Amino acid sequence: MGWIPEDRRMFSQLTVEENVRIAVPKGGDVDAGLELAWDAFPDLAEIRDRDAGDLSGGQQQMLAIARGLVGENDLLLVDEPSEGLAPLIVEAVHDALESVAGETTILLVEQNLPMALDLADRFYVLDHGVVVDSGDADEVSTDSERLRRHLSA
Amino acid sequence: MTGAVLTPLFVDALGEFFRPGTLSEVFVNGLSKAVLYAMIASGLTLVFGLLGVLNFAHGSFTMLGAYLGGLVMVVLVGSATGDLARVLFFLIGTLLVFAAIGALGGAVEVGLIRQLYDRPPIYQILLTFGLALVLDELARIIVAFYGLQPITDWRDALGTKPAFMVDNLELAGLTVSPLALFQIGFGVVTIGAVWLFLTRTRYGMVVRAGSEDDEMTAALGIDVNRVFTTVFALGSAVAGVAGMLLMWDPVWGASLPLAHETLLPAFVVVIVGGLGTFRGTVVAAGLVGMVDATMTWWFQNAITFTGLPEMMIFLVLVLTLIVRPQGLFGVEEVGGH
Repeated sequence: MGWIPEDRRMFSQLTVEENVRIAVPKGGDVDAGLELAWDAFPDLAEIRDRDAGDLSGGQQQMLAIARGLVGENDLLLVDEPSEGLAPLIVEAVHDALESVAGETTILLVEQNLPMALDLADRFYVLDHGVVVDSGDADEVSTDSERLRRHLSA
Repeated sequence: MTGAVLTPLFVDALGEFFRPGTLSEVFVNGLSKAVLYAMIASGLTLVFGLLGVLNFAHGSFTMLGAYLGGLVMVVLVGSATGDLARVLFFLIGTLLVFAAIGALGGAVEVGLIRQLYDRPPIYQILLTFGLALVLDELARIIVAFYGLQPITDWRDALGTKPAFMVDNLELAGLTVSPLALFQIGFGVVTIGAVWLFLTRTRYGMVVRAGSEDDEMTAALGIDVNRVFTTVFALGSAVAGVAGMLLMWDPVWGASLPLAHETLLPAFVVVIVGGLGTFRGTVVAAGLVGMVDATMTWWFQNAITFTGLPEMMIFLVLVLTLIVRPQGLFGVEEVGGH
């Protein structure tokens, strides 16, 4: 089970590459993990030797997602991955999550609705801790009345 | 009046201090203190960074290492033993001390400290402080029981030193202590090994990550508890090996006061370097070692006021805390746990 927390929680004194390495499970293929991370975020490959503490918010988020990707997880908990990011980076994050969605179950908490609905198979709407609506993501994407009801709540 | 008497004395001392022979002696002494402080303080800082525990029993591990190493040497070395064999026995003793004090440290972490991680830090401080008292008293009882005389300074161990380490060397006007050179060489190798462990191995990477955020490290599927035990054992073992080195040193020797005489400078080094940073600890050890050696020379040769050399390193501490409270290489949050 992997966790990509909202505040990213980089190991700021480790390099970018070390942050990815440490997420590869013990006995796992480190080179394959690094390749996976650099493929998903080519920008990270260029700054692999920098301390994670020196990265921008967007770079940190890419690294946090990369760390989740290489963990060979059956379940990935992802908390607000698009928060505070530039649109281009949101797109990269979206694509990276989509690339693993096939083999990994992702539990995504997200307020960027288009991104969330595009990634999700099923959705749940929480209001003060209570599930007030749920269903297939596809059906709500086209149901503008249902969308409006939740967004105005 | 006092000024008039002091000034020529001071000028004389200044001239004496800047003679190449004095400078080389002070430099080598400072360096040997620096590597010993670095060896002892690195365990202290790693344990604090990762476990959030200030280990007041750390100096006791050094003291036990000195006695155990001294015991090994006294048992193995006879009057006919050659210098090469003595150095070889020293290396065997080092391995034994490393293993024994490391095992003791591991047992202390698993058996005692682990039980208190969820409590406020004062519990761990009281525990390690109490442990230091227990270990020191146990050593005192054993030393008294076997009638080792004088009780506070085990001279036999000093006698197991190879002959070439006993007297200072005079080389082209420079005065150098072979024992100090041996301590420096041995200490540099040990610190280098710890540094390689931290930066070049997966385990070391996990230690650095755990020092910063042990919860996130655990969330990556890493058994953080085992890392805690390993680091505590490793830090204790290196402190024990430092004791082994001090056992041959006439200034320290295998003695009971070694526990607090090494713990205090080590604490100063850890705080000056920045709590929890290995690099800061090594740099601060260099600084504190040099200040210590320089001031020791001044107070022995120019200013008659015993007790002050030890106080000077606390001046370094106070100045650091005023100018840069987080330490030379400190980051804001370490030791959270």
